[in-house]
Amino acid sequence: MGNPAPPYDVVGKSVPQLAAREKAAGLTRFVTDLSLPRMLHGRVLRSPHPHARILHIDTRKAKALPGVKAVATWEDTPKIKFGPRSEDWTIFASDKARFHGDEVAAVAAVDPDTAEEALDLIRVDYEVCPHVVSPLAAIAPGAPLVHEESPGNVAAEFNISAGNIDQGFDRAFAVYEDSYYTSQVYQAYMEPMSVIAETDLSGRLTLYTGTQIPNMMRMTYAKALGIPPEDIRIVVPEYGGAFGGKMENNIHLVAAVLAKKAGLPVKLTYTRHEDFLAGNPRVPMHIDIRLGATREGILTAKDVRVVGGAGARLVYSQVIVSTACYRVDSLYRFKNVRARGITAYTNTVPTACYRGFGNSQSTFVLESAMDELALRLNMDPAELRIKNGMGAGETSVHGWKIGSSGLKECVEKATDAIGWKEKRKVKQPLKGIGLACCNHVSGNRPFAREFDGGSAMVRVGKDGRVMVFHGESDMGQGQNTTFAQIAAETLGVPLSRVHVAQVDTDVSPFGLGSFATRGTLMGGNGVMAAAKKALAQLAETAGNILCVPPERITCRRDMFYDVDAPDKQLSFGVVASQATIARHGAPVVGTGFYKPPTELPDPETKQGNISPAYPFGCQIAEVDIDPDTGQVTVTRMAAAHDVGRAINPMSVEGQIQGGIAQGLGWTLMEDMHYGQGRLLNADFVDYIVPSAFDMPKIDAILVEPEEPNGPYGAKGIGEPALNPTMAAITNAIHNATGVRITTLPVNPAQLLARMKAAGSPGPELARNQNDRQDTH
Amino acid sequence: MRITPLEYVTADNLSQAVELLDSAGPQAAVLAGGTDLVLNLKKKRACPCILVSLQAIDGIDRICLENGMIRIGAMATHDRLARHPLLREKADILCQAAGLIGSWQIRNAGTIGGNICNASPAGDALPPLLALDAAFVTAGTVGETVISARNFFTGPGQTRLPSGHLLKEIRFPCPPANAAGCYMKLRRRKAVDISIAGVAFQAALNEEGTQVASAGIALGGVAPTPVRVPGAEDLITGRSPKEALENARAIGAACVAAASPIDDLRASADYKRTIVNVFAQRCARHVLTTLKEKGKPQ
Repeated sequence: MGNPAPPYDVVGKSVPQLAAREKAAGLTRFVTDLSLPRMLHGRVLRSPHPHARILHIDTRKAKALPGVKAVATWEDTPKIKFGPRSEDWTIFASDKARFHGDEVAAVAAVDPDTAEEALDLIRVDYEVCPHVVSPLAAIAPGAPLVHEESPGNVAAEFNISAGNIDQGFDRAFAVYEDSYYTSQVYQAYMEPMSVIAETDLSGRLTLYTGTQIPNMMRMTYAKALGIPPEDIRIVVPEYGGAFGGKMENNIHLVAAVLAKKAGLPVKLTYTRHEDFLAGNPRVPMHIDIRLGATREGILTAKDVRVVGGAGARLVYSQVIVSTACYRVDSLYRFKNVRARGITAYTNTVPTACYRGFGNSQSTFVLESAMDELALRLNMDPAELRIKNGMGAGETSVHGWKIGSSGLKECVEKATDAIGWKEKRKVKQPLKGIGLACCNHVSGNRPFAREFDGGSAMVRVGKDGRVMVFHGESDMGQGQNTTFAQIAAETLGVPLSRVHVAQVDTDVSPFGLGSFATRGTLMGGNGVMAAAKKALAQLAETAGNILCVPPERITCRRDMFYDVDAPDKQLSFGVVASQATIARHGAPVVGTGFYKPPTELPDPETKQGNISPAYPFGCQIAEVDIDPDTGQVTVTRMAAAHDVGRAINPMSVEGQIQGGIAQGLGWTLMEDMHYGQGRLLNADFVDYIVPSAFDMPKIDAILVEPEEPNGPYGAKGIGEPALNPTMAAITNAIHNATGVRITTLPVNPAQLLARMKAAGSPGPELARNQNDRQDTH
Repeated sequence: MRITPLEYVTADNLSQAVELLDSAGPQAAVLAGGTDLVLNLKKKRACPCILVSLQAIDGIDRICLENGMIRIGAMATHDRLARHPLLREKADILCQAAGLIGSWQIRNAGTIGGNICNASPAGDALPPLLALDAAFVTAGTVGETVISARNFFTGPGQTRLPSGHLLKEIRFPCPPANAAGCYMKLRRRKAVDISIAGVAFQAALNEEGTQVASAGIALGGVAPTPVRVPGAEDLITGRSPKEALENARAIGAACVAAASPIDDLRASADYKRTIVNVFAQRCARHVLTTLKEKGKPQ
């Protein structure tokens, strides 16, 4: 494992998450567990049609139902067009419903059943319009328009190029070209979206909800509701996962409108079915790639076209499509690249962020293409990656400055762990092994344009209790624990002293939130800076007591001492108490921030340095193929990830396991199926996610180069954990069968047909297959 | 989501339950494990006026062997079936199928009687019961009827359960010691999934251990009801396991001929036929190879 750790007491130690005991005991209060006095329950009436003009809505009968306190439609909203990055949202459909599940009306009633009953009493007259689901069909001439004001359904375009693409391909010895498709998949977090909204007498709105971006969301909602941001308070209780899915969503605004109308708190919790219909799943993408390399395997050019499906309004899909166009260009030493991205409106649920943010789609494509090039060059795929991989100190084709890179070490460690060379050499029938790499960011400079760093407050009370306030978001990934470890290490106290406050926009710093794998690095640096400020104040008190200048005071293992005379000691508790007494009760509060050395990309050339650090990774999958059914079993995975220094190795390994589970699900099972424009599998009966039995043994390997910009050398892991999984598995399938998978998820029937067409081993081999299935 | 208000009665014994059903007529529904019914009530796919719970009735979850017949009370849960020592020894095919139903929670609550009366084409317990030549004992106010499993199902959710009757018991002749069975289902993941296509294959040797004396092959999920495949069974009976094994491909083909699958979200009709063919052959190989071993002189 990486460099030998400096003698840290808390950082680098595997500790269970702070909330683990409560969660295991069922005591955690998730959003869905919360209740306020006189709280009403909301339900949403949704469009059954993918595209329909709303002619008339009759809510009279619903309003008359005993127990119903408010019924709302677009007429009850401020009628402002808004959106996080666009102006194509309304609270409730106004003239048209644009997807199956679009919000048409809502009810607040004394209990959920009454609200549900009231929905049945609302009559909506629709005039059904032609619809379009596929992104490619949407941009074809003559397609039905999702928004009349967007001709050709083009919601956004993005173009980027660097170097000279034609010269690059001229220099290529081998060129690979193909078209890929990645499916629309659902985050499948444990807790569906949920919110409680209440408005006080002054009209100030409070939302209790699980959100990744409490502060940024407030800005979007202020616009939607026509009120200033300071009139919105967002409180983030513990919540059950997000994976990118819990950012802006109409659920919060519908609840706000109902709460205002009813004059009472309103809770709105999506059923799982609704969460499928109206959550914000992954952007489906068609990606065409052309990739060239010299005879020696040096990459010369990459040309890409991406068409992503936005669904019926823009959440973040246009930013995700642009990310798919170029983020992966900093994985290898590209010199000539070009990409064109089109974000297309479609009549589906609006798509948005899901772990990987466009980079997972393009990593699947690039890493499939890399294997195809390796094949054409007769080169070991691992060697091709190492040959081109970005190293520490290098600058990428788009100007990204790679401070630390463990890419080469990731490839070496993963290949060693799984016995890559031997297994590639001695090919067994129907077994395959495949490899894929990835790069990512730890923060994204252009995402929120005003700034991209992190901040925190560290409060030390008279009782010596340390409270960390941050404005990011722990969605279950363990961010609070990581922050507590960083604060404890910086202050020199045991972890048990440190607690992390619930995010409350009235109290917490203005954090940007949890996305772009930025929490550990940005938030962690903010916590470290704040803890240092608090420590300095305590050191002053300790110095006064010990009659030593504060510069000579430090704290370790809960004791302040004079560095020149270490037996001059004072306990942390005594110092905290004395500091508060000296200030007549004022707590010690350290406020700190981190300003990353990033550069906003140039609008024209897109040259810049979007993140202070770049994580890398390499995953290797082994698969068994059933020659008669086409079913794929992933039998083992090795996953080596460059995470800088792991603050909490146990937590990092958990992220790797979870990322692989989601990547495996996407590769082999997950797809949102539409028929007649309606989502057909809006439930866990037919939207299949992997079970524990589907998971292979995973060797999670931490590669820990000290990241110069990371807190204690750390960078992020959230998204990279998933990004290489798809191509690792499909490259293994190719190794086993000779079939190149270009569409996610793998369809066993199609794989079977293509295996037969390619003359892969047929049913004769079936005799060796396990005849019996496991009975659980 | 709200269940339409209804009268709920916990029957103390079978005759009380039957009388309640008889007097309420089609307005009554029977609550066994509730894993399907409660969902249907919430979604208003079922709106009975009276719900008769069987959960307090003693003895209707009994599993025993009597006079050469295995008898299974309709209220036996999937989990009990999957683990029951008698069934594991004598009719493992049923344990395999029951163990693949739903999740732990579903198997703890759901019953074999419910699985049968729900009559889903994909019901996991159904093909093994057909293959085992099971019969269903139903109870009404004027007595009992016995209906063979292969005649019981008439369509998705449709059965020949006489109106006012309850399914009381499942019985089938206890397979001899030299029998073997295998159930395989196509699923999209390795646990907690609905059967997309299932093959049940049960066979027994004659006393001498030389020939297959009886065979039951049944399919699930590929027709409106579970179906027996006599055409495939004829390729096995009266032959030595070794001879029967040579017919594996023909067995697969006969099963495909008996299937009438439809295209749906879960798989295409073509793929379901492919799977029936493959699983029928795999079941045949597994069962006949086991029988070959069993038939060898000790």
